[in-house]
Amino acid sequence: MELLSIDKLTKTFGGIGAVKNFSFSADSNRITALIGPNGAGKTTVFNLISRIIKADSGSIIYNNINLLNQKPHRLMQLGISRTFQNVVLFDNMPLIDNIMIGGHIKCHPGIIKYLFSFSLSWKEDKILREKSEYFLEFAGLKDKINSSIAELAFGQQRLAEIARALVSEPDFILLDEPAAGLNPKETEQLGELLCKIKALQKTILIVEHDMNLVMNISDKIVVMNFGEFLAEGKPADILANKDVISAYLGDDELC
Amino acid sequence: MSEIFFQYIINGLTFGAIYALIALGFTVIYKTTDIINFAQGEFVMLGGMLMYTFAENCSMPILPSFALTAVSVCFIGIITERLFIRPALNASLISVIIITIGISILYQSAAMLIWGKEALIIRPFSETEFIELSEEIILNVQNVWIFGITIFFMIILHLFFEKTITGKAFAACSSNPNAAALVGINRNKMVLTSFAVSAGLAGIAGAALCPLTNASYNMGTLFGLKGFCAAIIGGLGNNLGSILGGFMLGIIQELGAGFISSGYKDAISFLILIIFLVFKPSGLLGSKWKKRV
Amino acid sequence: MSLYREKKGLLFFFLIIGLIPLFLNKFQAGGYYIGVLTPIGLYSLAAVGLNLLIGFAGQISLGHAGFMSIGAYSSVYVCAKLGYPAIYGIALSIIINCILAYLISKPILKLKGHYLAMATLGVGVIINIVFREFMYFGGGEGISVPDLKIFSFNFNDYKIKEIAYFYLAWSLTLASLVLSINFINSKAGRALRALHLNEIAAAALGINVSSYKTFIFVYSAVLAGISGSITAHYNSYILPSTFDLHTSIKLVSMVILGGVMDVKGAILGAFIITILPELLGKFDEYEGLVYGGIIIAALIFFPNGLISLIKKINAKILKLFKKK
Repeated sequence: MELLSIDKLTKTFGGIGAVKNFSFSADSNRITALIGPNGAGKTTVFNLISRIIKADSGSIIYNNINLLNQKPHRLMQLGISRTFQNVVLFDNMPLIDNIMIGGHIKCHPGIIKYLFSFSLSWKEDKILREKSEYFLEFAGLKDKINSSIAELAFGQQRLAEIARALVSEPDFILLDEPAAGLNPKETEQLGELLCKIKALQKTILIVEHDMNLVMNISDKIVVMNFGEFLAEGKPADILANKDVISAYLGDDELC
Repeated sequence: MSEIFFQYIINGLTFGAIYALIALGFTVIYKTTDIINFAQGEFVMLGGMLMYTFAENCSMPILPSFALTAVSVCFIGIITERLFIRPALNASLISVIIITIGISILYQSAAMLIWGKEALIIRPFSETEFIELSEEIILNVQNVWIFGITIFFMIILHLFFEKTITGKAFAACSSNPNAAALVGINRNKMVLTSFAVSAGLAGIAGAALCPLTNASYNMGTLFGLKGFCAAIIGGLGNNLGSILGGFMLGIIQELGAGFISSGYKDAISFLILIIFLVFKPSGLLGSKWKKRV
Repeated sequence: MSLYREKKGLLFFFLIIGLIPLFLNKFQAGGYYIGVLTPIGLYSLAAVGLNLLIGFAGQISLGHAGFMSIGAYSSVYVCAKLGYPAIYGIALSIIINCILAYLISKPILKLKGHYLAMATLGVGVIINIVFREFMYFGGGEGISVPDLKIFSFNFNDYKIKEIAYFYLAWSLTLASLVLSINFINSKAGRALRALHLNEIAAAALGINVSSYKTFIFVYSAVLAGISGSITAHYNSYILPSTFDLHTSIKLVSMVILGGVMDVKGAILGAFIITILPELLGKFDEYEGLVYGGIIIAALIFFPNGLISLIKKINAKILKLFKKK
């Protein structure tokens, strides 16, 4: 069943077509990978989905809602959560606070009451804190709960961002190159984490360059090149697809 | 009626030229350091004050007074950079803003202590004070001086940026300081030079202006602010924009002051600024650039 | 629970403040000192709100004196022109500042850095010029302000004026501190800190950035307005120059000098900057030099504000006690 359906999505940056008439879909409770050579437009697609940039035309339908009409901060409420290519943790607060922010929308909004809340937000905070600690453990960062961001290794920061993305209990998670900069062991840990997330009945859309990881965990792979749709299918099929191979390696024979 | 209109235009061009020069100073510093020097106006004031000291107190002829003033204000700019800016280069944005405001307060007080609170009168640059252009229109020659001097130095600055290696190094420094350093450009030297240049420009503007408006210790603030308005209106970081913005601000301000009310003169300038900031923050000629996440 | 300890410490501090007038009354010159501490309290009220805006929401405002003047002139309008009790004047100041700050924040808080600084500066200057030119309120000459009477208790009665205003100013400041600290330590405060660092990431986490920024802007404007209203009644006379660009810059200096990361820093900053001309006494023409010099030196050597210095000294004293 399709959870996210993108149809003829187009975005041009000053004459350069970053995404051209791009269509694909992500099925619920599956891991879909979006791959393609550098500059293919993958991160642009992500930024279009998360409404950080405005699309020129097309539609992005999630659960029968067209995301192109939504403001960026609304996505969380719809159950969509994401991580970023450059890890964006807030280093002006400890790790646990960072994770708790992920659950921001779960506690009811209403800014003014926080001026007068003496114990109100304490109760909510306690629940949020427990949940955050749970997901930190889930991501494998149990003993880092009270650290500052500076104390975390890069791989751990990536896991922390994923933990943060889970706290709001989203249905749909966008992961932007989570394996970038990780060593093989860390990548393996990441892969296990992603499978655990899938087991929680969540849907994942991942942009990734690490082919091993992609082949191992994806249910479906969508390939992009030069902003356009190239191919889609199961991992084994994509691996054998001639167009995909020539997009990555070029048509000419090497030496 | 048209005589009055003409007078406003003359004033507008005159003040516009001054704002343009001050705006150029802002742009030069901004390009090399990302800093907005809120003390820029004080260099204008110092230009006027020093001109008084040399031309009136010491009774020197106009040309050497002018040259000496320009050099002195350049020098003060260098001291400012060394003493106050260098240690603050990596501070947070708001800290830097407050530091430069602190410098402005410091220089104003010092000027008040040295030269007193009264307005200082400087004699005009030429013997002929006025020219009769027609029956009703009298042109104050100092306006011509101001206009001529500012245009002259704008051209020199343009040549500096386009033709000399140092000038091109400026541009490199602002777009990518790290890469510039790798290519051997000494950032500290660039910053120092930019302060010297912009202080000099402001001092020249002040020295040329003050025979017309008289010099006083607290004139700098408003000039600095309006120069910054001009820089933003034209597009922060764009030289031609600063010039365009300066003239535009000057003319609209004078026309507004003349036809609407002179008390609201400053309010008009800031209103123009806010309109630009809300609808076109990149200014007339600036380019938009966005941060990547 | 460091929040609990923080509030305890705060209560202790305000207890001391509460006892000061009773202590100072014993001395002849006591009235003078109380008279110095009251303006500090009034500035602190505005500075606390501004601290939240600058330090936690990460916005800059170089025009907050504009909100103070709107507060002041609202009180003048209601009390002097319409003849209603002072409490309605303060109510009007809150209402107008809410509306004005809300309307201003929508277009202007989209700006960042220098652009935001200049926009707020522009707003403050325009407000100042309007009051200066607008003769209904006396223009540049100023206008006198009726006494502050609440339920027939006259704050301006010369026998009790200094003490009455002292307690009023500092109670309001304490209240604003408590509200602010509550806010900072809540979920909303976390959201503020997040958007300060990275607005795009914060929005991706579901934080309505624009709402938060607007809220804090309005909150700080309201506090500044109340401060302006009380100041008007305290001085019994206001001029546009009481709340000009110079005042806006003073407010920001107080916040930055005290320490932008801690709300209590606002009070420290207000204290230092207000006490300055008093300390200089006869040498007050050097005020600008000292003021400028202090700001520059403090920001270069103590970028986190002077409250970080106080905290270090505090920590060292506590360590000494523990060793014993």
